[in-house]
Amino acid sequence: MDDIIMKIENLKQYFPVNKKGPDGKPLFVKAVDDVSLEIKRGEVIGLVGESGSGKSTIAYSVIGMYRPTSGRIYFEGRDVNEKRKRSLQLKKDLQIVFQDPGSSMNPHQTIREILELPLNIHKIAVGKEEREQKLRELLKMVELPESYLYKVPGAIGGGERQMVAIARALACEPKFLILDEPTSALDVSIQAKIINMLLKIQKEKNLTFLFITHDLSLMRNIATRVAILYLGRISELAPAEEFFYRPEHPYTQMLISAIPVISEEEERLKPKRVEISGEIPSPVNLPPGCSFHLRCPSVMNLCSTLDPEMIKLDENHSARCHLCKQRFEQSCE
Amino acid sequence: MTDDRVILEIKNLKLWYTVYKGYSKVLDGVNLTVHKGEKVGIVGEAGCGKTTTVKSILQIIPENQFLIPEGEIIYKGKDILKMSGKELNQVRSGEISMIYQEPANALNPVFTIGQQMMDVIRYSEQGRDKSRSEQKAMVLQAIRDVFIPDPERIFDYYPNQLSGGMKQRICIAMAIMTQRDLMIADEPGTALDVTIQDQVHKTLNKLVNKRNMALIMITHSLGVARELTDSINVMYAGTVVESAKTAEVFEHTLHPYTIGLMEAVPRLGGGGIQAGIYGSIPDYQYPPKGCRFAPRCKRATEQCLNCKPELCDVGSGHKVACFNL
Amino acid sequence: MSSKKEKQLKKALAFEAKRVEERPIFSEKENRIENLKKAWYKFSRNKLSVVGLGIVIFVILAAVLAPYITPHPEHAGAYTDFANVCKAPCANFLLGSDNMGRDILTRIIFSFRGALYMSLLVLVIAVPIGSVLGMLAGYMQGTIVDMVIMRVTDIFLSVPAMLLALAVASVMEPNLTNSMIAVTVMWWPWYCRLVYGSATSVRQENFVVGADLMGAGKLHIIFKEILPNCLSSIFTKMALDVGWVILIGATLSFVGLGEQPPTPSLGQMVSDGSRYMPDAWWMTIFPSLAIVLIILGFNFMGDGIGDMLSKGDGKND
Repeated sequence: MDDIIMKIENLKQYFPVNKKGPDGKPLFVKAVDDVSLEIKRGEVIGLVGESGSGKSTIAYSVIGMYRPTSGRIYFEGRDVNEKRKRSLQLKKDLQIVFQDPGSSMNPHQTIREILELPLNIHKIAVGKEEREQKLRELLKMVELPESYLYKVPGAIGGGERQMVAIARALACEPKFLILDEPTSALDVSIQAKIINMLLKIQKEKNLTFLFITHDLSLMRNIATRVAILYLGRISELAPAEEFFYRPEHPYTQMLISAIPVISEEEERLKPKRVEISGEIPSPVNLPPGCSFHLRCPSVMNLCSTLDPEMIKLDENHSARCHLCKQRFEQSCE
Repeated sequence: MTDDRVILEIKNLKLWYTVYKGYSKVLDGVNLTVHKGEKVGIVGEAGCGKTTTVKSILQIIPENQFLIPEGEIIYKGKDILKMSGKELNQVRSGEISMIYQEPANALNPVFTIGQQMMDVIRYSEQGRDKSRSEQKAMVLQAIRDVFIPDPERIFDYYPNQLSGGMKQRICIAMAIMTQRDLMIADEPGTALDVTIQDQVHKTLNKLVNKRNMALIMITHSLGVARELTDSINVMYAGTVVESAKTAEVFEHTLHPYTIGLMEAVPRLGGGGIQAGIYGSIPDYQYPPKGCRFAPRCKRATEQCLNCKPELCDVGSGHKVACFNL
Repeated sequence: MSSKKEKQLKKALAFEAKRVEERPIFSEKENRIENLKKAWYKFSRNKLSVVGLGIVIFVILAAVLAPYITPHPEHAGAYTDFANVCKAPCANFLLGSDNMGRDILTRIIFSFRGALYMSLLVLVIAVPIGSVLGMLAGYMQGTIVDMVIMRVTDIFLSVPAMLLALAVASVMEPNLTNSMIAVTVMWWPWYCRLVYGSATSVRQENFVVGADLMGAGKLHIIFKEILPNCLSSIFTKMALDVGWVILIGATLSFVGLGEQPPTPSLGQMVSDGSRYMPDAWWMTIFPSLAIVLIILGFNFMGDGIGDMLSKGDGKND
């Protein structure tokens, strides 16, 4: 039974820039340019991309920081932006963990106050005894000692701060958790702890994760499906194994071949080394045709004039590329 | 390896920062050797002291914030810690150069690239006697060396007109403009995207090889170290715990901390991540007696908790600081 | 290594040799005490701040204990002793006597009372009003509330401060309360602008956005998230402002618009004494020095408070 918990339909998020283009019309930064995605309950869906790809913007649109310029987001069947202000229940079900643990918590509050905020707002564990127990439970879940309740965020390390941020996000028992590069600022050994803890909790409570990172090796080990974004559009969407073993889109191949790995066997798993050339174009001035064609090693004439559409190469695997389309059509014959 | 091939040697360096109520004993006997033309990697996690170590090579920590109770940093036969101001300036302007993690902070936003690079040349040993046009030619050549097209146009750009990758390459260009013998790179690719990071690393590699410079590369990523270095020093809590040629470190990992690090890195083949290393880095104000990794180590014994292991050679230049191999 | 460094090193090694091995574990109460100790450490890194603190404590104690510590407490009111008029500093009159025969030292110490009372009241009224308006405008940046508040603030700030105070004070009966009202009127806009700046930058921080996304109400966000982060600039400015309010008060009383005689006030003493310059120089110089002392004291202490509330280790961060 396909229980689709979230559906993003043709999401567009344009931000105005105070300049006018050569034709006199006002210019926009097209942070997200027509993204559609269906997420099933219990999945861990990964968004990968470089800076300017729009992955964080999608997350912020879903959580409610931005109202979409156009397009809709459905959570459990209902449009999240129906009314001007979101309902408290919706705010409880959708939670986010930010990248930088230093700025996502108020430096003047103690950990206790930070963890109590969601409990107070959503009226969970109201009685004194219950409250104490709930706080202790939360700290135990992220494997932090109880004496941390009275410390300020400045007094504990970066990894521990991020664990508190995760505990805070899980305090109100959400159904959908967005993680925006939660471990990018942390070391490998702490990252391992946090990721394992997250996966354990995800399995126990059947949560759905939207996981954003630029670290492909990490993505390989967490996500069930991966979507790669380039300049605001999804270039390829596939289940994790297929994404890494049979990447179709040239951009995917380029990224995977650039990952620094630490063993020979992993080197063999990477696709052939693609020479990386050129800079990422600015999202204000998108090149005509396929947005990737200026850097693509397999560029064809068609690519500079026509923008490719998303085609289904397989039941779960889609890509947006003229070359892939040609190969698929050839293989169908 | 005879002594003249060694360009930099750090011997038992200890460094204490003055903090509230005492001292933060960050570096506890760092031993490091760099040979001419060698690319040495320092790998370690946040807070292990790698940036402190390289900052003390160039002596750029503010004076009243630290103390060095013991240790020597010997560059080409002379101890940097005992050098006078004038000698130190000579080292900084003509011998050793450094590039930092955040390119945006390393460039002054109110001056053009050209102005900043000309300044570097004008005060350097090799450039100060040349005419302006010769200096400008050196600058343009340096920009070309880092594979940036159209140097004349970049000369007049302000830093905010360039992307992150280009800024970092300009920083590299500034570092290699005059002939230097040692370059220190402090996590140069960390603030950049994966593809751009790859470009920057390749550029750095090509340049260092071409000019036969020695390179100290600091990174927290083992994968990056594997691609770019000839030998690796793994640091933990202010000491070097393992030091060997790159291939050795990956094939025959010996120190428990390095083993733990390798296990924690997510693999491209999937299979989940092994659990990280239990515990966290020690509080430098009250560091553990004995081996600093002992509280987190599965193989810890009484000896480990009481005595500090020294870095010793276990064969073919592979050095490890551990009692239980 | 220079000898200074060697001495430092010896001290460090000795300290290390006898320190306790165990790392202390903190309970809630101990955490709070530790935080206070750390705050004091940051404050006292700069020796001048401690000097400033000393001066401030001295001034406050002197003001409070004035009747008990001054040599001639009765001189602080209406008192005349024409036998001792304009006497130079001597054993009986440590700082000399004024044109009515009153001891200048006593009158200076008593004038501290009026000065402190005035600055306390002005700040207690101006700071909350200015801060709340500033926070409101900052939180609602871009809306009409913001525009109205900030434009009103701009209007007040565009009038030269002293002129405003004089204008207000001159239309009302000259006394201490009214001069306080005058100073309050010109003082709150500075706080409004200061807090507006803090609030607009804090409100973009992740933790404020996160609180909003989690469902926190507006009041909670303003008072629990934004306010604590603006407090450091508010307190620093308050400490520095005490000195300035006293100076403005002295200016007002110099032109006769503050405390009325016979209650002593510093500005008035300077004004009265100026007529006797340069013969009875002590009548002007000592009250002026007292003003300078108070302002320096509060300024130095204010610097220290700024260091104390900063993140990290204070000055050398």
